[in-house]
Amino acid sequence: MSLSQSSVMKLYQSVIEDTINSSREFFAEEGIDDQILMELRQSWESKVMASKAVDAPPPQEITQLPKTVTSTVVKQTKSQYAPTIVNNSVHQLKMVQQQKIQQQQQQHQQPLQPQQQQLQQQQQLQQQQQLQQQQQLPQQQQLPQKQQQLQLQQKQPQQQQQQQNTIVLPADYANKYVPIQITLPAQTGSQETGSRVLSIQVPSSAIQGNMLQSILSGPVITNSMAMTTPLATSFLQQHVNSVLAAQSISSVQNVVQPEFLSDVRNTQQQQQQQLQQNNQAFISGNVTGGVKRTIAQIDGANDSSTSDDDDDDDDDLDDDIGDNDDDDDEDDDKDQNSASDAEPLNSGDDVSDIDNGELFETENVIVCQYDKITRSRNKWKLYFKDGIMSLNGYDYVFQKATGDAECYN
Amino acid sequence: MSYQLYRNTTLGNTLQESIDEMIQYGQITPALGMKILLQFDKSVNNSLATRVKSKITFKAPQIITSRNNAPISNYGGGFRCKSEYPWCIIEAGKMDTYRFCDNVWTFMLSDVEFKETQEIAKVEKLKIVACDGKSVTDENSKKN
Repeated sequence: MSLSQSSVMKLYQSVIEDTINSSREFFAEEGIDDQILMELRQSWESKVMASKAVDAPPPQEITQLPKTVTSTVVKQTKSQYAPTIVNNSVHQLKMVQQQKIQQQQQQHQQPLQPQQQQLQQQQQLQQQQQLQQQQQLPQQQQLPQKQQQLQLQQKQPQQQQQQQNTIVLPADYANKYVPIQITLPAQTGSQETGSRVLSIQVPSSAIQGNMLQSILSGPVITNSMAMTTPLATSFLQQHVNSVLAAQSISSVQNVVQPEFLSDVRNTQQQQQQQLQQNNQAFISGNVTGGVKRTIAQIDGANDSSTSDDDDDDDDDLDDDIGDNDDDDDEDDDKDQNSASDAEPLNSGDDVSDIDNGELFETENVIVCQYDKITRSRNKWKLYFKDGIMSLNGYDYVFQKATGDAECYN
Repeated sequence: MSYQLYRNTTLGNTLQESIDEMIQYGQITPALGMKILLQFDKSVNNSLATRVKSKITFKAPQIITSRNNAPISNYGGGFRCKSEYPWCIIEAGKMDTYRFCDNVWTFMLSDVEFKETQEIAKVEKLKIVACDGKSVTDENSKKN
């Protein structure tokens, strides 16, 4: 194994150790129990292990052996490299890690059957926080469903009370259709203020695979918000059906593997966050007549920035009553402002930024510091140091990296 | 004072996930989460400077793009990080330790081959984000 690769685990362990130990005083200052710090450490370590970025990459020339570790998470991007040769030392580390996790799991819930426990371990890890809030988890079968329920609730923070009931699913639930509830704000433009609860049927495999997150997001939800309740219901039902039909074969195969569940977790979180933002944007859009819908809020949950706007509007109204001349001037100003908003001076730059962003989409990333970068004609010499690389899903570190590159632009 | 760009790595992203979960469930405050993350910045900068000894070389037949820009922050080197949590961004703006990086180089390379003593990896596309190494070197050399 190369040094740059074998150093990774050592470096990560030392950083974890150092970060946690140095954070102890912060916890003490806030009077938070050390146990929480230990939980943070375990959560962090297990996520690092689960990423598989610290595993040994498969040697290219050696015959590949069957994969022996089944309970760890395989990154989606890495599926093309499977089966993976699992280095013994890494494997052992991982087992130690798993034992720790098991012990921790058992503190939080009733003991589970060992072989099932191993399969679901990763899921449980990630649900650990949920478990703590809901100490009683009567049956394992409920886990995926429960997770989904929680996510649906998070999508609609105001509606949490309505969706507390967990459906207990039969053993062959993967192919059964189950109802799910979707909560939408009141129809756009309607007088009603209450939110609406729609119910559509989806295969439970879709819930388990958490595909609904991606299916029921973005323009679909936006569009359905403008519809009446029955129309929105059938619209969403049709949308889900058509998307699932397109994916059905591959997705059903995938959901059987527990890895898949954990795989999509990162994207889920992002989608979740996005959904929350969308949701907030919708709400503010309703209040202010849909003007603000496109503004995504990233500064926290349910911060009522709209109230500020309302105040401003009121102020303006008062001003208007007092002085009509100013009012006219203000209107003119506003018109100019909105015109310039629509066509900002640097709009061309914005477009090119987006293009660059797309061009820079890659899984292979080095973050590092540069010592020197030189260029003579089209030949570049790059001198980097203190780098962490993620290449083909595996992490490497270097003290120094020297690169030759050419540029023909 | 440490660079924050290492947050956008496996180690940094997983820590932010864990902190975020604990904040979501009310176990720690966002302010504490931010302190931990800043501590991570220090730890990872120090550990990289002192514990890593490997030297590698790489060859890229073509630079697709290169940019030397003065970005808004050294966090992610002008790129949006994968995980930008609200508690992280808001708090970062307030912190004194939030610091700017004068120059960030970003490269997009194609068909890159990495070698240590022998080849270790080959990638079709590679993104490099590099902060200026000089300012931190001084700091580290004092410590050593």
